[in-house]
Amino acid sequence: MSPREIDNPDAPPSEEEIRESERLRQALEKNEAHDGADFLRAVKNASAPRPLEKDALDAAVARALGTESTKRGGALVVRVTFGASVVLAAAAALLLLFGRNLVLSRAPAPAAELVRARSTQPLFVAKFDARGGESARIDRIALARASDLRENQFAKWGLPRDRGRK
Amino acid sequence: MTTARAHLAGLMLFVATVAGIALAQCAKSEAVSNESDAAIVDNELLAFLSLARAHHHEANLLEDDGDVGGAIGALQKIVDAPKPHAGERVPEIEEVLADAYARMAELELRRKDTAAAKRDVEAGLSHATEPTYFRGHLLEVFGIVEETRTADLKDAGNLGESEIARKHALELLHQAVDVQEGVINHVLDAGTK
Repeated sequence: MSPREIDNPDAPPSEEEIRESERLRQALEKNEAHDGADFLRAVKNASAPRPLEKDALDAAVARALGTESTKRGGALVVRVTFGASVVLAAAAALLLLFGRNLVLSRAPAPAAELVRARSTQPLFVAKFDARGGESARIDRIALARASDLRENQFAKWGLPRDRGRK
Repeated sequence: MTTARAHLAGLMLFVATVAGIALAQCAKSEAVSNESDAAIVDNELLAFLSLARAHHHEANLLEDDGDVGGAIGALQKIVDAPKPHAGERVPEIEEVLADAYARMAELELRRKDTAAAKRDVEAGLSHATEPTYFRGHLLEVFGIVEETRTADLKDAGNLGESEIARKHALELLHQAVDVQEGVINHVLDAGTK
Protein backbone atom coordinates (compact mmCIF):
# COMPACT_ATOMS: atom_id res chain seq x y z
CA MET A 1 0.00 0.00 0.00
CA SER A 2 1.47 3.26 -1.02
CA PRO A 3 1.49 6.35 1.21
CA ARG A 4 -0.81 8.00 -1.28
CA GLU A 5 -3.47 5.28 -0.83
CA ILE A 6 -3.20 5.40 2.97
CA ASP A 7 -3.76 9.14 2.90
CA ASN A 8 -6.92 8.67 0.81
CA PRO A 9 -9.76 7.24 2.95
CA ASP A 10 -11.97 6.83 -0.13
CA ALA A 11 -9.49 4.56 -1.93
CA PRO A 12 -10.76 0.96 -2.58
CA PRO A 13 -9.44 -1.81 -0.22
CA SER A 14 -6.21 -3.41 -1.23
CA GLU A 15 -5.81 -7.18 -1.58
CA GLU A 16 -3.85 -7.28 1.67
CA GLU A 17 -6.69 -5.54 3.53
CA ILE A 18 -9.23 -7.95 2.10
CA ARG A 19 -7.09 -10.93 3.22
CA GLU A 20 -6.67 -9.59 6.74
CA SER A 21 -10.35 -8.83 7.15
CA GLU A 22 -11.20 -12.38 6.04
CA ARG A 23 -8.76 -13.78 8.65
CA LEU A 24 -10.35 -11.61 11.35
CA ARG A 25 -13.88 -12.75 10.41
CA GLN A 26 -12.86 -16.42 10.58
CA ALA A 27 -11.05 -15.95 13.89
CA LEU A 28 -14.15 -14.34 15.40
CA GLU A 29 -16.47 -17.06 14.04
CA LYS A 30 -14.28 -19.96 15.14
CA ASN A 31 -13.14 -18.33 18.39
CA GLU A 32 -9.53 -18.60 17.29
CA ALA A 33 -6.56 -16.61 18.48
CA HIS A 34 -6.02 -13.42 16.53
CA ASP A 35 -4.75 -10.06 17.73
CA GLY A 36 -7.73 -8.20 16.34
CA ALA A 37 -10.23 -10.87 17.41
CA ASP A 38 -8.80 -11.04 20.95
CA PHE A 39 -9.10 -7.27 21.25
CA LEU A 40 -12.69 -7.25 20.02
CA ARG A 41 -13.64 -10.11 22.38
CA ALA A 42 -12.10 -8.23 25.31
CA VAL A 43 -14.10 -5.12 24.42
CA LYS A 44 -17.27 -7.18 24.15
CA ASN A 45 -16.68 -8.98 27.49
CA ALA A 46 -15.98 -5.71 29.22
CA SER A 47 -19.24 -4.16 28.07
CA ALA A 48 -21.48 -7.25 28.11
CA PRO A 49 -19.80 -10.14 29.94
CA ARG A 50 -21.14 -13.65 29.71
CA PRO A 51 -22.58 -15.14 32.93
CA LEU A 52 -19.95 -17.09 34.88
CA GLU A 53 -20.79 -20.77 35.04
CA LYS A 54 -20.40 -22.64 38.34
CA ASP A 55 -17.83 -25.11 37.06
CA ALA A 56 -15.71 -22.32 35.69
CA LEU A 57 -15.98 -20.41 38.99
CA ASP A 58 -15.00 -23.44 41.10
CA ALA A 59 -12.08 -24.15 38.85
CA ALA A 60 -10.92 -20.53 39.04
CA VAL A 61 -11.20 -20.51 42.86
CA ALA A 62 -9.33 -23.79 43.14
CA ARG A 63 -6.58 -22.45 40.90
CA ALA A 64 -6.35 -19.23 42.88
CA LEU A 65 -6.15 -21.01 46.27
CA GLY A 66 -3.83 -23.66 44.92
CA THR A 67 -6.05 -26.33 46.43
CA GLU A 68 -7.98 -29.12 44.88
CA SER A 69 -11.26 -30.27 46.37
CA THR A 70 -9.98 -33.57 47.56
CA LYS A 71 -11.00 -34.92 50.98
CA ARG A 72 -7.46 -34.89 52.31
CA GLY A 73 -6.88 -31.32 51.17
CA GLY A 74 -10.14 -30.19 52.81
CA ALA A 75 -9.14 -31.66 56.15
CA LEU A 76 -5.80 -29.88 55.94
CA VAL A 77 -7.50 -26.57 55.29
CA VAL A 78 -9.76 -27.09 58.32
CA ARG A 79 -6.78 -27.76 60.58
CA VAL A 80 -4.80 -24.83 59.25
CA THR A 81 -7.76 -22.48 59.60
CA PHE A 82 -8.43 -23.48 63.21
CA GLY A 83 -4.76 -23.36 64.09
CA ALA A 84 -4.27 -19.94 62.59
CA SER A 85 -7.37 -18.59 64.33
CA VAL A 86 -6.27 -19.89 67.73
CA VAL A 87 -2.78 -18.43 67.31
CA LEU A 88 -4.23 -15.10 66.22
CA ALA A 89 -6.66 -15.05 69.16
CA ALA A 90 -3.87 -15.94 71.59
CA ALA A 91 -1.70 -13.16 70.20
CA ALA A 92 -4.53 -10.66 70.54
CA ALA A 93 -5.17 -11.81 74.11
CA LEU A 94 -1.51 -11.44 75.05
CA LEU A 95 -1.42 -7.98 73.52
CA LEU A 96 -4.51 -6.92 75.47
CA LEU A 97 -3.31 -8.35 78.75
CA PHE A 98 0.40 -7.58 78.75
CA GLY A 99 0.93 -5.11 75.97
CA ARG A 100 -1.57 -2.61 77.32
CA ASN A 101 1.00 -0.61 79.22
CA LEU A 102 3.28 -0.58 76.23
CA VAL A 103 0.54 0.63 73.95
CA LEU A 104 -0.73 3.21 76.42
CA SER A 105 2.62 4.39 77.70
CA ARG A 106 2.46 7.45 75.46
CA ALA A 107 -1.32 7.52 75.14
CA PRO A 108 -3.55 9.95 77.05
CA ALA A 109 -4.03 8.86 80.66
CA PRO A 110 -7.44 7.47 81.63
CA ALA A 111 -9.47 9.51 84.08
CA ALA A 112 -8.60 7.16 86.95
CA GLU A 113 -4.94 8.23 86.70
CA LEU A 114 -5.56 11.97 86.77
CA VAL A 115 -5.10 14.05 89.93
CA ARG A 116 -8.44 14.44 91.66
CA ALA A 117 -9.90 17.10 93.90
CA ARG A 118 -9.16 16.51 97.58
CA SER A 119 -8.83 18.30 100.88
CA THR A 120 -6.16 20.97 101.01
CA GLN A 121 -5.47 20.09 104.63
CA PRO A 122 -2.11 18.41 103.85
CA LEU A 123 -0.84 21.74 102.51
CA PHE A 124 -0.89 23.14 106.03
CA VAL A 125 1.35 21.64 108.68
CA ALA A 126 0.29 23.83 111.58
CA LYS A 127 -3.01 25.14 112.90
CA PHE A 128 -4.20 28.43 111.53
CA ASP A 129 -3.63 31.66 113.40
CA ALA A 130 -6.68 32.85 115.30
CA ARG A 131 -6.93 35.90 113.05
CA GLY A 132 -5.86 36.45 109.46
CA GLY A 133 -3.87 34.21 107.19
CA GLU A 134 -6.70 33.48 104.75
CA SER A 135 -5.03 35.32 101.89
CA ALA A 136 -1.81 33.35 102.32
CA ARG A 137 -3.80 30.12 102.48
CA ILE A 138 -5.65 30.72 99.22
CA ASP A 139 -2.29 31.56 97.63
CA ARG A 140 -0.93 28.18 98.65
CA ILE A 141 -4.07 26.31 97.62
CA ALA A 142 -4.24 27.95 94.18
CA LEU A 143 -0.55 27.32 93.50
CA ALA A 144 -0.77 23.68 94.57
CA ARG A 145 -3.80 22.97 92.41
CA ALA A 146 -2.27 24.83 89.47
CA SER A 147 0.57 22.34 89.69
CA ASP A 148 -1.96 19.48 89.77
CA LEU A 149 -3.72 20.88 86.74
CA ARG A 150 -0.45 21.02 84.82
CA GLU A 151 0.19 17.38 85.68
CA ASN A 152 -3.26 16.46 84.46
CA GLN A 153 -2.67 18.31 81.21
CA PHE A 154 0.61 16.47 80.69
CA ALA A 155 -1.09 13.16 81.49
CA LYS A 156 -3.84 13.90 78.97
CA TRP A 157 -1.18 14.59 76.37
CA GLY A 158 0.37 11.20 77.11
CA LEU A 159 3.44 12.57 78.88
CA PRO A 160 4.67 10.89 82.07
CA ARG A 161 3.52 12.40 85.35
CA ASP A 162 5.90 13.50 88.07
CA ARG A 163 4.49 11.12 90.67
CA GLY A 164 6.78 12.41 93.37
CA ARG A 165 4.93 15.70 93.57
CA LYS A 166 1.71 14.39 94.98
CA MET B 1 -16.68 -29.90 56.78
CA THR B 2 -16.18 -27.66 53.75
CA THR B 3 -13.44 -25.08 53.42
CA ALA B 4 -15.90 -22.21 53.73
CA ARG B 5 -17.34 -23.66 56.92
CA ALA B 6 -13.87 -24.12 58.34
CA HIS B 7 -13.06 -20.48 57.70
CA LEU B 8 -16.33 -19.38 59.27
CA ALA B 9 -15.82 -21.53 62.35
CA GLY B 10 -12.29 -20.22 62.78
CA LEU B 11 -13.45 -16.65 62.44
CA MET B 12 -16.19 -17.18 65.02
CA LEU B 13 -13.71 -18.71 67.45
CA PHE B 14 -11.38 -15.75 67.03
CA VAL B 15 -14.15 -13.18 67.44
CA ALA B 16 -15.55 -14.95 70.52
CA THR B 17 -12.12 -15.10 72.17
CA VAL B 18 -11.26 -11.47 71.50
CA ALA B 19 -14.72 -10.32 72.55
CA GLY B 20 -14.43 -12.22 75.83
CA ILE B 21 -11.07 -10.70 76.62
CA ALA B 22 -12.25 -7.24 75.63
CA LEU B 23 -15.25 -7.54 77.96
CA ALA B 24 -12.99 -8.64 80.80
CA GLN B 25 -10.73 -5.65 80.17
CA CYS B 26 -13.71 -3.29 80.12
CA ALA B 27 -14.92 -4.65 83.46
CA LYS B 28 -11.43 -4.18 84.91
CA SER B 29 -11.21 -0.58 83.63
CA GLU B 30 -14.62 0.21 85.10
CA ALA B 31 -13.52 -1.13 88.46
CA VAL B 32 -10.45 1.12 88.38
CA SER B 33 -12.38 4.21 87.35
CA ASN B 34 -14.85 3.68 90.17
CA GLU B 35 -12.09 3.82 92.78
CA SER B 36 -12.66 7.52 93.20
CA ASP B 37 -15.66 9.55 92.18
CA ALA B 38 -14.04 12.86 93.15
CA ALA B 39 -13.88 15.52 90.49
CA ILE B 40 -10.67 15.82 88.52
CA VAL B 41 -8.54 18.91 89.07
CA ASP B 42 -9.48 20.79 85.93
CA ASN B 43 -9.60 24.26 84.43
CA GLU B 44 -12.95 25.07 86.04
CA LEU B 45 -11.73 24.25 89.54
CA LEU B 46 -8.58 26.27 89.04
CA ALA B 47 -10.60 29.17 87.64
CA PHE B 48 -12.63 29.25 90.85
CA LEU B 49 -9.50 29.09 93.00
CA SER B 50 -7.96 31.88 90.95
CA LEU B 51 -11.07 33.99 91.38
CA ALA B 52 -11.02 33.42 95.13
CA ARG B 53 -7.35 34.32 95.30
CA ALA B 54 -7.90 37.55 93.38
CA HIS B 55 -10.77 38.60 95.67
CA HIS B 56 -8.75 37.83 98.79
CA HIS B 57 -5.97 40.08 97.51
CA GLU B 58 -8.52 42.72 96.57
CA ALA B 59 -9.76 42.49 100.16
CA ASN B 60 -6.15 42.89 101.39
CA LEU B 61 -5.76 46.18 99.54
CA LEU B 62 -9.12 47.51 100.72
CA GLU B 63 -8.43 46.41 104.30
CA ASP B 64 -5.05 48.17 104.20
CA ASP B 65 -6.93 51.31 103.22
CA GLY B 66 -9.26 50.85 106.18
CA ASP B 67 -12.20 49.97 103.90
CA VAL B 68 -13.53 47.04 105.91
CA GLY B 69 -16.92 47.12 104.18
CA GLY B 70 -15.20 47.02 100.78
CA ALA B 71 -13.07 44.09 101.92
CA ILE B 72 -16.18 42.19 103.03
CA GLY B 73 -17.77 42.98 99.66
CA ALA B 74 -14.76 41.53 97.85
CA LEU B 75 -15.03 38.33 99.87
CA GLN B 76 -18.78 38.20 99.32
CA LYS B 77 -18.00 37.86 95.59
CA ILE B 78 -16.26 34.56 96.36
CA VAL B 79 -19.22 33.03 98.12
CA ASP B 80 -21.63 34.38 95.49
CA ALA B 81 -19.57 33.14 92.52
CA PRO B 82 -20.85 30.18 90.49
CA LYS B 83 -19.19 26.99 91.63
CA PRO B 84 -17.81 24.42 89.22
CA HIS B 85 -19.02 20.81 89.41
CA ALA B 86 -22.48 21.83 90.58
CA GLY B 87 -24.12 19.21 92.77
CA GLU B 88 -20.79 17.83 93.96
CA ARG B 89 -18.93 18.66 97.15
CA VAL B 90 -15.47 19.50 95.85
CA PRO B 91 -13.14 19.64 98.89
CA GLU B 92 -11.07 22.58 97.64
CA ILE B 93 -14.17 24.67 96.95
CA GLU B 94 -15.73 23.83 100.30
CA GLU B 95 -12.55 24.72 102.17
CA VAL B 96 -12.04 27.97 100.27
CA LEU B 97 -15.63 28.95 101.02
CA ALA B 98 -15.17 28.04 104.68
CA ASP B 99 -12.07 30.22 104.88
CA ALA B 100 -13.73 33.10 103.03
CA TYR B 101 -16.60 33.05 105.53
CA ALA B 102 -14.09 32.93 108.40
CA ARG B 103 -12.39 36.06 107.10
CA MET B 104 -15.71 37.81 106.55
CA ALA B 105 -16.68 37.01 110.16
CA GLU B 106 -13.39 38.47 111.41
CA LEU B 107 -13.99 41.65 109.40
CA GLU B 108 -17.56 41.91 110.66
CA LEU B 109 -16.20 41.68 114.18
CA ARG B 110 -13.82 44.54 113.38
CA ARG B 111 -16.76 46.72 112.50
CA LYS B 112 -18.61 45.49 115.60
CA ASP B 113 -21.35 43.63 113.75
CA THR B 114 -21.48 40.46 115.82
CA ALA B 115 -24.78 39.33 114.34
CA ALA B 116 -23.31 39.38 110.81
CA ALA B 117 -20.15 37.71 112.11
CA LYS B 118 -22.24 34.94 113.65
CA ARG B 119 -24.15 34.42 110.39
CA ASP B 120 -20.91 34.22 108.44
CA VAL B 121 -19.25 31.76 110.76
CA GLU B 122 -22.33 29.52 110.79
CA ALA B 123 -22.41 29.60 106.99
CA GLY B 124 -18.71 28.73 106.96
CA LEU B 125 -19.20 25.75 109.25
CA SER B 126 -21.68 24.26 106.76
CA HIS B 127 -18.76 24.08 104.32
CA ALA B 128 -16.32 22.56 106.83
CA THR B 129 -18.04 19.49 108.20
CA GLU B 130 -14.92 17.34 108.51
CA PRO B 131 -12.38 17.74 111.33
CA THR B 132 -9.84 19.94 109.55
CA TYR B 133 -7.90 23.08 110.35
CA PHE B 134 -10.60 24.94 108.43
CA ARG B 135 -13.33 23.71 110.77
CA GLY B 136 -11.13 24.24 113.81
CA HIS B 137 -10.38 27.78 112.68
CA LEU B 138 -14.07 28.54 112.14
CA LEU B 139 -14.94 27.20 115.59
CA GLU B 140 -12.18 29.39 117.01
CA VAL B 141 -13.54 32.46 115.20
CA PHE B 142 -17.05 31.54 116.37
CA GLY B 143 -15.74 31.38 119.93
CA ILE B 144 -14.22 34.84 119.54
CA VAL B 145 -17.52 36.14 118.14
CA GLU B 146 -19.32 34.78 121.20
CA GLU B 147 -16.64 36.22 123.47
CA THR B 148 -17.21 39.62 121.85
CA ARG B 149 -20.95 39.23 122.27
CA THR B 150 -20.40 38.35 125.92
CA ALA B 151 -18.63 41.65 126.47
CA ASP B 152 -21.16 43.62 124.43
CA LEU B 153 -24.10 42.12 126.31
CA LYS B 154 -22.41 42.72 129.66
CA ASP B 155 -21.73 46.35 128.72
CA ALA B 156 -25.38 46.65 127.78
CA GLY B 157 -26.37 45.32 131.21
CA ASN B 158 -27.85 42.09 129.82
CA LEU B 159 -26.08 39.82 132.25
CA GLY B 160 -28.23 36.75 131.62
CA GLU B 161 -27.63 36.70 127.87
CA SER B 162 -24.02 37.60 128.47
CA GLU B 163 -23.53 34.51 130.62
CA ILE B 164 -25.15 32.30 127.97
CA ALA B 165 -22.83 33.77 125.31
CA ARG B 166 -19.84 33.23 127.60
CA LYS B 167 -20.66 29.55 128.09
CA HIS B 168 -21.22 29.13 124.37
CA ALA B 169 -17.88 30.80 123.68
CA LEU B 170 -16.10 28.41 126.02
CA GLU B 171 -17.83 25.43 124.47
CA LEU B 172 -16.87 26.55 120.94
CA LEU B 173 -13.27 27.21 121.92
CA HIS B 174 -13.01 23.77 123.52
CA GLN B 175 -14.44 22.24 120.34
CA ALA B 176 -11.89 24.20 118.33
CA VAL B 177 -9.08 22.84 120.47
CA ASP B 178 -10.40 19.28 120.14
CA VAL B 179 -10.58 19.55 116.36
CA GLN B 180 -7.13 21.09 116.09
CA GLU B 181 -5.62 18.45 118.35
CA GLY B 182 -7.32 15.75 116.32
CA VAL B 183 -5.88 17.15 113.12
CA ILE B 184 -2.42 17.52 114.63
CA ASN B 185 -2.48 13.94 115.93
CA HIS B 186 -3.68 12.71 112.55
CA VAL B 187 -0.83 14.53 110.83
CA LEU B 188 1.68 13.16 113.34
CA ASP B 189 0.32 9.61 112.95
CA ALA B 190 0.57 9.88 109.19
CA GLY B 191 4.15 11.09 109.52
CA THR B 192 5.23 8.12 111.60
CA LYS B 193 3.76 5.51 109.21
